[in-house]
Amino acid sequence: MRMPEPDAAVIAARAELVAALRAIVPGEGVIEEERELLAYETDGLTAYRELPMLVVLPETTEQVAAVLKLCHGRGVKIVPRGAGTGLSGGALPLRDGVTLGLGRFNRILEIDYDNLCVVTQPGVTNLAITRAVEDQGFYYAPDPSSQIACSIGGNVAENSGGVHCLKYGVTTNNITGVEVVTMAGDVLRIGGRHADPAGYDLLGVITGSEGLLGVITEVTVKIRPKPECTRAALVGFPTIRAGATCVSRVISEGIIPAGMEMMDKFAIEAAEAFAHAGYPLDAESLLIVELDGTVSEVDDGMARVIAIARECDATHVRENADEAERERFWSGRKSAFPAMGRLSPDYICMDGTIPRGRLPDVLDGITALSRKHDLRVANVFHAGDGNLHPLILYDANDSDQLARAEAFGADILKLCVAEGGVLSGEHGIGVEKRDLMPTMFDDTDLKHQQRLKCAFDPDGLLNPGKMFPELHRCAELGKMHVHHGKLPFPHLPRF
Amino acid sequence: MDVQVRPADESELIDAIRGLTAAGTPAQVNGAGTKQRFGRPVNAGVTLQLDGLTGIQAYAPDELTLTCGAGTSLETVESLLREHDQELAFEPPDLGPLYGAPPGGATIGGVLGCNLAGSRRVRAGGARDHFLGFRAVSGRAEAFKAGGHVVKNVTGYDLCKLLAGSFGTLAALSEVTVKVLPRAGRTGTLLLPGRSVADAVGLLIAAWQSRLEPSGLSCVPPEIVPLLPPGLPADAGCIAAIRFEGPEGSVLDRLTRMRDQLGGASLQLGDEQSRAVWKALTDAAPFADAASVQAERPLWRLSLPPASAASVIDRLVGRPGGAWLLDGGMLWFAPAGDASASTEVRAETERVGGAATLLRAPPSVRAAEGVFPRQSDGIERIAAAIRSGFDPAGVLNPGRMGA
Ligand SMILES: Cc1cc2nc3c(=O)[nH]c(=O)nc-3n(C[C@H](O)[C@H](O)[C@H](O)COP(=O)(O)OP(=O)(O)OC[C@H]3O[C@@H](n4cnc5c(N)ncnc54)[C@H](O)[C@@H]3O)c2cc1C
Repeated sequence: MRMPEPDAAVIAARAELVAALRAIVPGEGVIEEERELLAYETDGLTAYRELPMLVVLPETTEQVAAVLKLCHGRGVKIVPRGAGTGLSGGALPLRDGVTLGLGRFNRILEIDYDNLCVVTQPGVTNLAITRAVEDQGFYYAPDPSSQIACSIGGNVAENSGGVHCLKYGVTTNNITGVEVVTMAGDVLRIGGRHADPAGYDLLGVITGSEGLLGVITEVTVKIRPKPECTRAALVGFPTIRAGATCVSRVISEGIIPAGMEMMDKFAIEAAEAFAHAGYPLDAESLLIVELDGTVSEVDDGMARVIAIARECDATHVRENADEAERERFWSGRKSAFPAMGRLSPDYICMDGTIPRGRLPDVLDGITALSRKHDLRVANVFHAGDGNLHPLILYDANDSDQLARAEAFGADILKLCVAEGGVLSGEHGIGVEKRDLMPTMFDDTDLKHQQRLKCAFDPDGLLNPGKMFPELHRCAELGKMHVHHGKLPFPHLPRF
Repeated sequence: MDVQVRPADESELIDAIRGLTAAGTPAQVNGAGTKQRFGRPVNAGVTLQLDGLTGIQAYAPDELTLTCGAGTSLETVESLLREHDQELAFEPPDLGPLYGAPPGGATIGGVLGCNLAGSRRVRAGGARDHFLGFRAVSGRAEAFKAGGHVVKNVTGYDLCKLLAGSFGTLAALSEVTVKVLPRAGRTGTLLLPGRSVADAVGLLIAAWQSRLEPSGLSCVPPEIVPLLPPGLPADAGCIAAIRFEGPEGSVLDRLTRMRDQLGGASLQLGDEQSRAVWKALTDAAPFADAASVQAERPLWRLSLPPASAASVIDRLVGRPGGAWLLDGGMLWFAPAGDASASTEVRAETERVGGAATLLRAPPSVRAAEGVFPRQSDGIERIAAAIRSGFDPAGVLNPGRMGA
């Protein structure tokens, strides 16, 4: 992976930097031993590794601000890091960079039931927020499968989703405020406990900015009352197309399930072998449709979903009898990753979104690509919102397989874009999809995106090498090419 | 002399903005112009009118997305959606009449550019949350796009959020993609009359915290009742109004259970009356009377942490006094005696960590006192840098959002 050229002068001044950082973050908070740095060399995208120059683990916003200010002054690059579960290499270290870990920001600061929000530090895990409020009957809706491990700060940085985001939205729809420190060390408090603060929506652009705009040091998330009733159906189909048709029919009949997940035959078999979830092994595609709301609404909706499923030739229809069975339905889906881990030494999880109606054709395309690259692939899929997660199986010890897996992944994403979709539904661009950005955006599009970056970090020191294939210098982006000569509106007043 | 430029497609829009930048001439950027008096006055001799960029480009009901020219009228979009039993779930309000524009004149681009949402904001989110992608021409006279045509997307920065609520100061939208959802179905409202402000707000919070999924939470003071469609009791004291939407059986079930849970005297509004009342609340119709519109009587919109609303109302009604209406976390407030009361309103809003916008006032007041809330220096610096990145010559609505 091509990364920004390391700055030899910065590396040469490492010892001085360590001393200056220790003056800000005392004790164990500055890591320089190679043995300890190794723990940070990769994130959830393990195919790429790099040893960071240093790791710093601040505990307070003041420390973060001082670290950033120091590094800004010295021209030292920063890589923010939450729990390191990211799947696009967003937290991949830089050889001449400081990895700034937010793991010590691990406290929930306030639970405000009257305003239905929780104010938390960014290192708190996604699930810990729900755990903190569930005894009062509330929860935090976005639920990435990594929720026991990933940090809420990382969720904000990636704008993460989960199986329940068709109905409840992704991270950006479920937060109302952040505190962010810019590369220059300015502390910005954006939003609060109210909706739609006026001014440019900086909360909205920080969310999903992959650590390129600022370091998130506090987050205010919305919580919701737990639904009165949650029920799921497991539905098997004789073909992929039948399952995809069912998904579209459910939505066009006005039902928005809390979750609607699909798996292909290979994924069904692997998950069943691993989790014994009761999946029908003769099905070519499997849907888990979950509805929530009041009892009467769920009763009504579930009856309609099942009628639609039967009309779509479902061969297997089962509603959960009790909570344990509902959990079992999900256990298979949620263990799709470890299940793949048993079948193959390595796998990469791809993440693209397509218009849902294109699903059967895209899956045919993926099958053809699987043959072309001679690698196996299993498909799990947030079917409700068209978000595909093909899992490509390979062996990293075989460098040819790794190269083929990367090429296969890139081909899948190009296919998604060609079918009217996008490169990432929830895992972000990072380094993984960085070089594919031009398949979706032209140079002018990308330059406008980078102008946002320039407003926050004109020197390009925050997480460089991620998201953009080519970094234009901000001075160059700021220039305006005025077109003299013939003007299209000669009647306009001139000053 | 006022010049109007009305491009019919994106290439004409590029030409128009290129002309502005070459000449260094700023423009007032409008959709249909129904809310052009929302924001600080723009000192421009040119109006760039975007309501010629019309047309539905793509609508796939079962993909839950719609793509259209940004100048397409909201009515066109909404009536098409209605044919397919869908809607814009953020319930776009029609604020034009607050400024004397005829009802129903807004464009979809204008609604997104002002980031407007109605009473369902508490449940469905704001316009920003339903804005999936766009094409636009920045102040550099360059066409660019961001986002996508699918409901879930994290490819690149979320520039949709940046443009939502940017009031045409960064780029002129030419095409937008929005998320659409099944129509809410039946509507019913539980009314709990005769309450103090604090009691009413407490009931609304309890409803919001319940599992019954209300989609509108309003506190209506007695002075406002005569200005709303019929159905609300003219008692002393405030009315807590709680809306439910969905299949008929579910609405009735939730109305009953909410009534039993909250207790006290109550009434219910059926589907038709509910729709009329919530439309009026969403549009802030009680503040659109001819005299107020004519005089551009100051009208504030305060976005508040919901639980703080009672104390804010209490203190504002104590001094400077005036008319108010609470809709979700949004407080409409018209100070007594035509004063803007900027100092008190801003101080009171800041005290609880909210944001106050002077939605309507005479141009001189908007120019002198500003419209949008003060931001910290750090945020102002970033906002200014964003603006100079997207519109370096300052030709798109300069000054509309701030100094
Ligand atoms: C098994 C598994 C399942 C997963 N399932 C899902 C899923 O269902 N849905 C989904 O969306 N994702 C999923 N992910 C991906 C991942 O968990 C999410 O992207 C998550 O939000 C990353 O959080 P993190 O704390 O681990 O961040 P990291 O991996 O540490 O960092 C991710 C990015 O955020 C930046 N960052 C982190 N913290 C901050 C901060 N405080 N301030 C500024 N920038 C910061 C980093 O620089 C990096 O660019 C899964 C991952 C795994 C391993």
